Amino acid sequence: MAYDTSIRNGHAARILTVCSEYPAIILAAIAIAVFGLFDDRFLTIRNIQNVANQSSYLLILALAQTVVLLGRGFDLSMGSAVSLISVAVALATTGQFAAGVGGAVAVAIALLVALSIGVFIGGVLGLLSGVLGANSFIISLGMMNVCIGLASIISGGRPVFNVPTAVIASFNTGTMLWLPAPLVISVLVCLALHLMLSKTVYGRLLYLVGSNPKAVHVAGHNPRTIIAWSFVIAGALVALSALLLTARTGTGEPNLGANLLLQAIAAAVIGGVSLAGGKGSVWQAVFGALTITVFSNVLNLMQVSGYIQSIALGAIIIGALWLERSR
Amino acid sequence: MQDYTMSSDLPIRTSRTRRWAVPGNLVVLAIALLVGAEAIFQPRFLTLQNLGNVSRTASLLSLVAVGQMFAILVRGFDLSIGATMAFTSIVVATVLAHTSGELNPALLVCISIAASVATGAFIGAVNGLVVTALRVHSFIVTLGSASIITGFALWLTDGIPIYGLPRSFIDGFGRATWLGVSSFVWVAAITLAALAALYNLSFVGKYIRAAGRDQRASELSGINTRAYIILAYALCSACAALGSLLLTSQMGSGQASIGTVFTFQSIAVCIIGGVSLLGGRASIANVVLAAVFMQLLNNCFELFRIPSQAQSIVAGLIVMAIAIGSLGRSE
Repeated sequence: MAYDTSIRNGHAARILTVCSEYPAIILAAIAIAVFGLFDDRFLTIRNIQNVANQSSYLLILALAQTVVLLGRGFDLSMGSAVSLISVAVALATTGQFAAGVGGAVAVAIALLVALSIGVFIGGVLGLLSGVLGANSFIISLGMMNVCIGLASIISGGRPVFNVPTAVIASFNTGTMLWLPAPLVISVLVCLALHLMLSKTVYGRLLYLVGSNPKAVHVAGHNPRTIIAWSFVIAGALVALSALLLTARTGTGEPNLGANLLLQAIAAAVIGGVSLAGGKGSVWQAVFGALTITVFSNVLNLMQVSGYIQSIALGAIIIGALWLERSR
Repeated sequence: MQDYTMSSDLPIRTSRTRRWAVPGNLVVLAIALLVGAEAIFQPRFLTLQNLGNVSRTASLLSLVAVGQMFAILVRGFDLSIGATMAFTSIVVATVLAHTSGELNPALLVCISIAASVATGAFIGAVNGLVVTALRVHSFIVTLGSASIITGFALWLTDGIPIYGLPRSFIDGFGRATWLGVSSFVWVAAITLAALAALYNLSFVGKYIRAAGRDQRASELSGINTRAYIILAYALCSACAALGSLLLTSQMGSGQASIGTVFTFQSIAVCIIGGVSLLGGRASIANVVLAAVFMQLLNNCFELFRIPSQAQSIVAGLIVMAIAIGSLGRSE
């Protein structure tokens, strides 16, 4: 509601603008302040590191959803794609083919398998909903079921154990530049994506597609291919997130991603990414993912049951939608 | 049941095959092919027990899918159907476990129907209220509400099924056959007949369609579109709740895990049944046919012992294929 904000003046308006731009900051600040005061386990180095590691995979997934949302798309298949990639990576690195190979080769296989599946899924989604123009919600709903089915067929419905330690080290326990690997990876992804979205022609066009596809057409670009590529980029990000998660659990889990879709959407939405397309930034997704992780960390420390966390997550999503609406 | 009279599209010149290939015809063809193939290759298909199974599952799915149809009619999706079914199952089982088993079974059935429909209608109305108030696409709202409802269902029960439903209720309702036909078929047929009358013959159906097709125009012509959109969501969840009641009475316990598959299946059935995602256009008969097709397909997979995960893949591929195939039509 542009009229409302333009009429209001003064500090209240400015604060409201910041609140609506980054609703997650306020939520996270309140949560950190309250729980930092009342619970001395919360603001320990170990717990902060834990939150940073936990938020890394969610963050990358939220970024994937953000990229798709920017082009007015939507991807419901992310959670199940994570499951499929997790199982496939575990099978590929533990199977006959990878028996006896060195650590570096195992890591390369894991990366190759994950990225090729992720990019393939993103490519199919992009082709069908971007190039051909089908409803991305429906296409990704169908893809979700395909991925769920494939994940449980190739794994037999059981977790795949014995993921090589080299893979676990590279994507979870190891360090780069004295920092935990997941943190470094997610920071690098954030920077790369931020540069892509704000400095490259493609990134600017993606924003334009989300806010005004006709303008893109008039400017001599094909909005359909731009949308299609956004799904491919998201697919690669999903693959990366799945790798981090698989390394974290140390197993290929056929239902690893079951709750992730909702969390990723929640992170994007409370971060302030618009569902209508064309509005959203890397930093908003970062704040959203951090908020979700901080909240679940706090609730875990308070030993709140997972069922209530599920209620809270739903309420947060609807609350964030309400905030977006009140803009 | 093809809705030609409502169609405001200009006559588009299409080939004869293209004109024939409307969802209704295609689904009937697919059903005929499936039945033919199964009858020839699978001797167990044409047994009374198997046909009874198919009719039961198909009527359950039709009921839930027609509910979803109402949400899609007003340009939405209800992703909270599975959660609503789980929650309703808990509510109904709790209510029945606290009523005396001495009561007349017919009275028990009435109580359970009232409890489930009230629960469903309440959830749906809240969904509709939030969707119309926030004016965001309903799938994100219902994704959030699904998380809330599931959380409540699990929290209230700690994930443990609720037992202690009166025996007379389970045997006299969920597992009963009346006049040789399962109670599922009766309940679905009566409900769907009522909904079809509401949808096709009454002003309510007309206004829901109008609100879905062009909300602004309907508002300008004096229709309280918000009320009809909320009503559509309430109908959607009430149908899911009734389906959940059938499942609960058949299983004999209230479970917070039932219904998860129905969210996707109901949407898939609506898409196969040619419900327009642009809102305002759908045919109950086609949705029912699509539900029958879906369950025949599942039955086919079961009889040929194809793993159930493959069903999920095939259903996903069908939905994607139809979304592509209907591109030219929907625009």
